[in-house]
Amino acid sequence: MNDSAKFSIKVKLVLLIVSVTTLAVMVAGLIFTIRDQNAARRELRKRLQGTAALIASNATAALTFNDRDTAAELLASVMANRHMHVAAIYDVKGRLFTFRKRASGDHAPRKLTGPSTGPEFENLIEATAPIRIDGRTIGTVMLMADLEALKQRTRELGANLLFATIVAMAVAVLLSITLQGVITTPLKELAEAMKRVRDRRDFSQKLKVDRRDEIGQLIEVFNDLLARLDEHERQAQRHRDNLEEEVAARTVDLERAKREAEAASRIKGEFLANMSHEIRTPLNAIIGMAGLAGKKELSPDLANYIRIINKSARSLLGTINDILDFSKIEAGRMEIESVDFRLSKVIGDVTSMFTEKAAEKGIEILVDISDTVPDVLCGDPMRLQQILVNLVGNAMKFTERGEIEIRAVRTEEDDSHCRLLFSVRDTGIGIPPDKRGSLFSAFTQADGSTSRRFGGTGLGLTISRKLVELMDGNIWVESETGKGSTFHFTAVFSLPDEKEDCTPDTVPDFTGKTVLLVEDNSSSRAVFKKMLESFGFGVVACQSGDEALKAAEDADAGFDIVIVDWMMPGMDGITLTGKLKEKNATAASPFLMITAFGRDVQRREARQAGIEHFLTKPIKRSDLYNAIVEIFSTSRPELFKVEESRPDRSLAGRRVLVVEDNNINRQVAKEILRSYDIICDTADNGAEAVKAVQRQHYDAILMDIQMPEVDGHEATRLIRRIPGMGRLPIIALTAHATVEDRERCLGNGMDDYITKPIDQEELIDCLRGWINGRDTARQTPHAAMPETADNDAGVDAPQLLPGLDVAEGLRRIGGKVEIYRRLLCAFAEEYRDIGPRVSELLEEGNMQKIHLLCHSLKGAAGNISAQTTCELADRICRAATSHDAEEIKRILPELAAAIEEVNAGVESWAAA
Amino acid sequence: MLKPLLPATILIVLVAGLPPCNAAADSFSREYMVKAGFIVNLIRFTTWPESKRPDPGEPFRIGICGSLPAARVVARALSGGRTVKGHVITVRIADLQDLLDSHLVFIAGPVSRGQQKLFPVLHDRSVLSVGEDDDFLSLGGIVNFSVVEHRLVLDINKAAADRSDLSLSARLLQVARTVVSSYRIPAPAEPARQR
Repeated sequence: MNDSAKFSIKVKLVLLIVSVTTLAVMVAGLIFTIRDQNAARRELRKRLQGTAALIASNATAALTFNDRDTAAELLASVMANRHMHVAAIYDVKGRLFTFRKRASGDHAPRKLTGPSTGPEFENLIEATAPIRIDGRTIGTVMLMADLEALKQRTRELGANLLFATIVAMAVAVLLSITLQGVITTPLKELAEAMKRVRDRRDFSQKLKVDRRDEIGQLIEVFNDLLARLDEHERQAQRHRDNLEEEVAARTVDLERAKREAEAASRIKGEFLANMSHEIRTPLNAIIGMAGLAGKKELSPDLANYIRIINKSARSLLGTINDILDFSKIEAGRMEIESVDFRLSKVIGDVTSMFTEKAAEKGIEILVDISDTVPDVLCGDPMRLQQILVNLVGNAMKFTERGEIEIRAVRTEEDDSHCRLLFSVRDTGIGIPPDKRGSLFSAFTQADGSTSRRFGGTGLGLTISRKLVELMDGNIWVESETGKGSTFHFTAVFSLPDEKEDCTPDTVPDFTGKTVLLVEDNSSSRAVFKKMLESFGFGVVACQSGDEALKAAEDADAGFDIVIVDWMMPGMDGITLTGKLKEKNATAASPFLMITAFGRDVQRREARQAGIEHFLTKPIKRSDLYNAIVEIFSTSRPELFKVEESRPDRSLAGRRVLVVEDNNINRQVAKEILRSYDIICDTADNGAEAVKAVQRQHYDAILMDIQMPEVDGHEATRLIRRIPGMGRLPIIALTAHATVEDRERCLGNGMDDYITKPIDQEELIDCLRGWINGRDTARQTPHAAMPETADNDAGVDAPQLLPGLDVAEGLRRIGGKVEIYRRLLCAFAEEYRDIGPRVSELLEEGNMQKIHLLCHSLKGAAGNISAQTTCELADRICRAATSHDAEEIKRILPELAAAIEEVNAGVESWAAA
Repeated sequence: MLKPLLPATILIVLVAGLPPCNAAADSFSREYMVKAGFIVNLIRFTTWPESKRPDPGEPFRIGICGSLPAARVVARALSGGRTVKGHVITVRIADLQDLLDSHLVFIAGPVSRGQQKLFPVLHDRSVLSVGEDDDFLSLGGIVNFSVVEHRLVLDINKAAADRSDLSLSARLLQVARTVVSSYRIPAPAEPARQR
């Protein structure tokens, strides 16, 4: 802001007017003064000149007649004027004739020179006049007067001017103060009006225009501006109003749409759930019945039919599950669990799912889990397994020969999380580059023809992708047409707080020991080598039989173990074993055969060749480790893990109530339970179930959720209210496979949860867990022995019992001595009369029953680590399968003796 | 009486262009040359009646009588074609009775009885009479020269001038030492200045 903007217009106006007025007055005064001065000066000079001329005239005679006195008289007369300083008369030659001067004056008559009138000097004005007579100049009169009169006049004028100026200023101030209102008042009013408009935001006001000057124009413009603002404001207001209405209208629309969408979604979800249920129920029946039928003695054709039915039904189930999953993903309702699990088990389950198929196609399945991958993870094992099954299934589908490798490595880790990279590599037909992009989109397969040829919904990869994304990972594929594809995916898992030391990774025992590994498949060989080296072995890896023989010959020392692949081009594993047995380096070595096929026929051949230990591909690290540990730690000739869970009798005689409204499902459940010798009652609905539990003691209830009248949840609540029923195991059976469903079940007082269609093993495992677990819990207070589960101090386990590997047995059940002892007692009780029973059956020729009996014996014996008994039972099983009665007869006495031995040992311990 | 004259006198002498003489003669001549100058100036302050003034082209006649040496000096000073009021001055030295037609007569030295008798004629003929006798005014003369303290002063008989029908300038009267209003009055014993 400059100086002029600091002051109000009022001040500026006053200043302006006053200064202009003053200036005008002063200029006028000055001009007047100057003119007056000049005029006065001229007048003065003229007067002086006149005086001089008069003197000159009067002095003529005096000068002519040389009369100084008269001349002096004359001069004296002019000196009467007080402003006259000098008066002088000069003669014709310019000589001073006579003069008068003021006594106080400093001026003296000067020498007469120059013109008759000269300029004033030293504030004096001078006039001269010639003295003439008869036309001749005879002298000069000179007068000098001061300008005092002039000065006086100037002073008077100045004073007048000053006075006039002051008066003018005063008048100007008064006038301007009065008049500035003319300008500033309307401005102030305008400003006030603007302020009001601003403060009230009322643009509808108009200012009065009663003038036509600039301020009037300003007001008009301001009014115009106000009008526009007002219009603008109204428009904005209208817009706002409209907007609100619009928003309200849209909100209503949206809410309706949202409600509709939600309703549609809910209906869709319900529809899907219902459909799922409706489809699962018959499927349940098909699978269950097919499973049961498969256990019967059937002609090969029928068995094949049943197998195909079973397979197709499971395939259909898988498809339905896919669709259900997909719809859940679409609805955003897919959820990821977070539970602790073992990665090795998940991958093991995946591989075992494909073992048979791989064997059929002659494909090897390799598993390579990096050492850095923690085994125990926290995440959703079911979903992880689903992804892997999907990828391996695809690989299996598109691979005709070669191998499928499942790899897992850790890519990053922090304290609580780790990211794993899984890869599923196959040697199949590969995926053309242009198809890879759409691979993970819904309903897409690489090729329509592929779809027709290989089947599949095309949803698998889409679901996998979504699942991977839910696990904070991503999925991608690398592929080379004709050479195979590799699907990679990453997933983030949290790490459990306490890391269980589940895999005894480092055992120094193996350090320095050497292994001869013979495996034709290079990938597989590399995996094995890596595993073995991680155990501490020195590994000599060979890719063929010939190479292995050469290695055996070249070896300085014997090999501690020989691991041989069964299927190899050229020399197969069995032939090679025979030859290696003749070599010094390997003659005494234990042999471990790796087979892709768990078929008994081949095993027999192998056993005949002197191979006692087997592992079935795909081989997990823990399997290999356990196998080797057992080879070194025992002289036990056989190391079979009972891989398939066969019906056992651990639940025999238990009573289970099946609550299920659907007749077929009821039948299925019933049959499954019956096949495990479980006594089964049924109830059609919840109400019946509630009545039933009051009539009869049950060890467990299988409770369907969706039932007419009283549903599973309600029935459970009712049962829980009955005294003494608080701890009865109630296991939900439902087609609803969501987390919420399960939580709801558990929240309603149920103990566990099984998804339909019912998987036999899952059901039995579950029941066993609940019934036996409950038994233990229930019986403990009444047991003669103190609780030993955690405190075994009171019970010493004998180091050795005849026919039993106590250490192994205890290890199997987690070192719980009391339970082990009870198991032994139960075993002794159960199988005391096994010899006569088998003989009886043998006579009947019922090989099936013998097989079943001996199979369960084998299982039980295995559980308590009665190795001899277990082995013999297994031999009888196999003999029964091959209808070899002679073999059974031969083995039976041995079996009886072995059991006798065990029983004796058990009794001696029990008595102790 | 013959004392060194005033610078004005010297000035007049120089103007007259008189040659230098011996000291006494110089003093005498200087006195009369000044008187000659005064005479010319008197003409300038005096107005003659219409009938008595010279017509244009006519000379202004000055007659000189009395003491001859003085008359000669004056005559010489006035001659030489000098003009006054546009008229050439002619000078004649003669007896007064021969000079009655002059416009102005200068009577050098004391006035004789014979000259006294002619004064009324002079009055009648409007002749300006100039003299240097202390009784000149009382005898009826109009202007008389006297030397006081080396200065030539004028005394004027206003009454005689009036009688002669001559008009004397007031300024002339102003510079006169004495102005006498009646010529019948004998010469005043004491000079009294009048304004």
